[in-house]
Amino acid sequence: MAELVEQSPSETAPSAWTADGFGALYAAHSPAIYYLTLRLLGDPTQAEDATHDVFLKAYRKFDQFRGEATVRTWLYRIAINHCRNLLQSWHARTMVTPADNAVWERAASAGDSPLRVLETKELGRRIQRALDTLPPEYRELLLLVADEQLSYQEVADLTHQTVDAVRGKLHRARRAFAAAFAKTD
Amino acid sequence: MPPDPPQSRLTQRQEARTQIAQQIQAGTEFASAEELLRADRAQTRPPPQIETRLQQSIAQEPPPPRPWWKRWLGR
Repeated sequence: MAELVEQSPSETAPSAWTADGFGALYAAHSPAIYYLTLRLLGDPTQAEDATHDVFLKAYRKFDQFRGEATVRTWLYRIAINHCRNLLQSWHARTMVTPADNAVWERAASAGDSPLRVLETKELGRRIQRALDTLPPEYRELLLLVADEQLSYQEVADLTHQTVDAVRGKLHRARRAFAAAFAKTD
Repeated sequence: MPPDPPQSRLTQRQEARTQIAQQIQAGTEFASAEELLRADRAQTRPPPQIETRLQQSIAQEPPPPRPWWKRWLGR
């Protein structure tokens, strides 16, 4: 993850879809938001809907954006909450019980070796399969930390924990992901 | 020899994506999960229909209220 990124929040409320208004905000942040929703929800159609809904919420609530965080962090917060709500309602309907975190700590002993990729076509599918087996907390952490524009502090704020907790869980999340990814080969 | 003209951000991003794609095709090893996820993200683009839908949705919305600080400053 990159070191602290200094980024001034936008000071103007994008009032319309123009090249320098909301259109610019969408162009700058939609790849990151779409990717997050895609990998959290695991379904391209749902991710499309979620990305649309996240940016529409952002448009409606832009007056509440106080510049205490970067626009990107603010959008991530909306996206995470949106995906959590969706996943919660799906899980409630399907009665899925997530695996205990301890299971992952035991299973991740083989996760220190590099992740080898030979086939581009399959990369997304393998990543999704590996992410789907992780506890939601690990999945979120890995996806947020993978964004070089976010600092550890911002990831900690987004996931409501301390930076030390992020570092500790991230270590376990990496190992769990590597172990799960190796099984997708 | 004069220096090369500065590249645009877009060109740099495109080159970075191409480089990642080439790395993957060459059977690259990624040192961490984040590195792998970055490579995956670099080749995942949001479908263009999201932007079209969003533009249509926003066109139906009332104009958003002014930000709190503009109201406060009376601007």
